[in-house]
Amino acid sequence: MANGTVGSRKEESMTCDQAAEFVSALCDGETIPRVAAEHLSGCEACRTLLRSYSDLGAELRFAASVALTEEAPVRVWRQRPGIWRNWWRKGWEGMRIPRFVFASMLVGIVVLGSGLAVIGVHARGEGNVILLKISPPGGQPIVCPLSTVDKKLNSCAVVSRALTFEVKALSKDGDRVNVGVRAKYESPQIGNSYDSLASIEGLPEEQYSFEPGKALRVDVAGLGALTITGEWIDHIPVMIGGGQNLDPGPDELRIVSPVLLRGKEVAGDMEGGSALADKPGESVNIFLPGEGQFQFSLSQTPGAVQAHVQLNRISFESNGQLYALVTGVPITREKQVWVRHDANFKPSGGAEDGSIGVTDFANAAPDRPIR
Amino acid sequence: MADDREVWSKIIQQDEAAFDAFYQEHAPRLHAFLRALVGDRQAAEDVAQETFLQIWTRPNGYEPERGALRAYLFGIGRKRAAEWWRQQKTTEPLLQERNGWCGTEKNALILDALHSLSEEQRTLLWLREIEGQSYAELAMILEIPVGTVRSRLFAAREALRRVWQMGQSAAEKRRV
Repeated sequence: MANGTVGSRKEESMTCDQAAEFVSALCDGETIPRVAAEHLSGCEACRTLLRSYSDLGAELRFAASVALTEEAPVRVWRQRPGIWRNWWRKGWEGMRIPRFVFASMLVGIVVLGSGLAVIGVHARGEGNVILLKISPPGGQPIVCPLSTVDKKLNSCAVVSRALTFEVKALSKDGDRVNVGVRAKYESPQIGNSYDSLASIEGLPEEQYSFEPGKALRVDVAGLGALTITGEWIDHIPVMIGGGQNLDPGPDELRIVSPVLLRGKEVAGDMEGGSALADKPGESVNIFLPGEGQFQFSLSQTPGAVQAHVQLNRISFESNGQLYALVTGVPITREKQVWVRHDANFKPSGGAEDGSIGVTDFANAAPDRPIR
Repeated sequence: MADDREVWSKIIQQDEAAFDAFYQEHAPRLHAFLRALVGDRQAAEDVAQETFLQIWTRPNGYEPERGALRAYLFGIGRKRAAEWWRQQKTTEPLLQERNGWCGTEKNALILDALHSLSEEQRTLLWLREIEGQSYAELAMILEIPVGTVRSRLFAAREALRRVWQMGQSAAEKRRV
């Protein structure tokens, strides 16, 4: 750069080097001292510098404009913990599976993650595994898959402070299976042992012939009857912990930690929320703020649309939009379910948090919110 | 400024729609800025995501009277980019993606020239020339006095001009 001096008076004159910073400031539209302005007006070198800076700025803006045409990737902004804890609570209240099972199920889901290997289950298969559902009086059912061929997988035991029992598949007899049962009940009190099968080891094994499709009642002194139901399947199913079967039961609609997609966007993520509808006339209801309520059921309900089921995904269309509900575990054995979408649904009391739960739609008022 | 206050208020209240609108409006420009800082498209996207996530999950520190919300956003982005650089220096070889930009050879040359400057000079020039941030906003983003902004901007322009001229001369020689 030239280093000329311009100025009418010596004390107000400025060299090019001194003026250079103001040349830059002038590019930015900043006010510059009069003496700097006077220098610029009479200095060709500084005016050239000003043009250089302006040109470089223009080049930068032009080059950057290419990058600026790119669209921002789609992101989903979830609220901070609070509403999601609420989801958990709602799911907790709405689910019907035992709470300890649910807790371990969540762990299981994390472990299984993307590698869910789901094997087809036949409602009336010719398998060698009997899947028993054992329901204590007033308690939650426990699922036990028992192999009739593999001796290492032919028994199932439950140990608790009050009830201890073991069920063993002894042999297959046509459509029936011979099972042996040992069970003992003690009134719950402090000091009871609940960490081993020792308390039933000396008990005689009672043998029963169980026929899938029919309920077997096994009396336990002091407790009442264990009700055993079951079906034949052709494999030992993957369990999700706590005795919860990864494969859904025959009449189960099970939605665990669902994510609702609208097109390619996440409309709602109900991580930790869960609900199980396993009785005729029941549905799983999901309310999402901004999306309304979705009622999923295995049977047709007024106003519902048919939805396609693929393992852990339910796809459907509502109001011209494609939706998909994706869950952590397989949803149902059915190939289709029914979805009723009420976009204008408002929860009672004006609550705005999302919720998930089960309702008996056959008996409930049509728009009764499930919370 | 009143709009920024309103948007900020909604962000603090975890208004997802408001934040998404804020994101949609500013993400492309922030991404381009960060790409100029970190030199890598994917890294810039990651840093941009971290920047928005920080504001979404920990909305604090913005003072409307000090400048625009956008300036605050770019300030956080710059700090995040600096953190990214620190991590790169300790874990991986530095990434450079100077040819990743689309456009003409001239575009590539000016961006190459920009990349040869220091991080602060790149930041200053990008935010001033492309984002049009005021001196006060630049002072807020870089956490320096306003008076210093002027002198450092000049130094940055001068550095870019010299690199650019050298590049032009080299290109001329290649053509000859």
